[in-house]
Amino acid sequence: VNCAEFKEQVLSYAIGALDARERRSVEAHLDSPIVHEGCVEALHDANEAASVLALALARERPSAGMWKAIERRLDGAARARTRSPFALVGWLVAAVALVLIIWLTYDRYQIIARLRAADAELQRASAQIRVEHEALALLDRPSSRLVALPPTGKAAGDFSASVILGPDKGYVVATGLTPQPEKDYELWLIRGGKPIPAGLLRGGGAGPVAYAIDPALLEGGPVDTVAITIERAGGVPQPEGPIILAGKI
Amino acid sequence: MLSFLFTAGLAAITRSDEALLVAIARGDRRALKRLYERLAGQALAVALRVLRSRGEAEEIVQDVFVEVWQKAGRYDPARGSPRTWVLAIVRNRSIDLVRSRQVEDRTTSEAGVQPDAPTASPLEEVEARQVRERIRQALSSLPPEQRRTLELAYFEGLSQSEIAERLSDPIGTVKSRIALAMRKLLASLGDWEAAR
Repeated sequence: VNCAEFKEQVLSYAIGALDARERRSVEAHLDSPIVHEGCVEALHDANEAASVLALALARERPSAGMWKAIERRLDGAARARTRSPFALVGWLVAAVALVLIIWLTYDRYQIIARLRAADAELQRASAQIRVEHEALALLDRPSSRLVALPPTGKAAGDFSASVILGPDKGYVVATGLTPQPEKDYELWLIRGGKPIPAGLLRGGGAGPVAYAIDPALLEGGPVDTVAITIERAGGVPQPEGPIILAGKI
Repeated sequence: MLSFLFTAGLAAITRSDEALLVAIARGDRRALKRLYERLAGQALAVALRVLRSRGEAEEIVQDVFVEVWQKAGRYDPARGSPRTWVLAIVRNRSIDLVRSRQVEDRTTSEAGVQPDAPTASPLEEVEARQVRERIRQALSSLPPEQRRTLELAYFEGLSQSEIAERLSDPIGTVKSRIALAMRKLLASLGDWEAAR
């Protein structure tokens, strides 16, 4: 279709009298990027002439609900836009951000808890090393004594322990004091036949662990015997459980 | 004098309709309502003339005004006035509905019996009546077979070959009738324009 043919057909096009193939040809010509010879103007005039048929009709009175129905549809479309994929993406981003924040917060607390546990373990290990160094230093002093606490055989276990005693300090080095449920290992200093509770020996295991004896307990005079018993958790003021290790000084 | 009033009124209506479409394209709901008040009655008449069912016609008109709201920015004044654009959408949608649903011919006692819906202002109503009267005069000046051919195409969606078959006329005759009738209407519009 060229411009002359278009202008011949545009009157039938505007009135809707072309078949589908002819209509497509006319529309393709109109959309073609050429310099038209009055095609758009011809279409304008043809459309206006065709509208005469519509304008000649007596107008009808729309029902009262028609405008309200249109408004409802426009409002519905506006609401749908707020629920559009873009809005959904917004909600998804917000949800992902929330999950990320929760995860990061949870992870942060987990990391803090793990760091605190590691710090406590480090402190305990440092304290243990310090005690061991002090025990070795005491052992090097000529005034110190090393006394073995042989197993009594009154409880099952591979226990062994030694006591390093100086004039004002004392240490117990024990092996095999593995934790037992609802129980604690308790150290006793026996002086004049009277057992004096000297603390709970916790944190032991298969390897040797050094424990410091409260120096105040050594000020009351020479100790006759050192013993270790298994007692109720938290310890007792007087020995109740089996003596697993004991040695005369 | 009457001709001057008619053409001046038609031009004023077209200019204000274009302003309304610009406002609608910016999202002005009141402008859409104003355009609806101006065109809904005519749009409903076209849909009813094609569909012969008031319920379907009202549904089409609702669809078209929703479409106008969504596509006002695409209106091209080079191709026709806003009124022509809206009525063409109504006509095309109605024809599509007839074809897709194969609506049976219904005898209608509805079309054309309702009183005209009032426009927003008495002046516009006067102008609209003048426009319609001149248009009716132009249409009545056409020979009956030319007018019938245009109506079969415009209101029933028949192609030239279908009209030829319906009227048992050669297709060349149908094409000639359409061309002659449309040129007469164009000439009438030209006379109105020249009279401004």
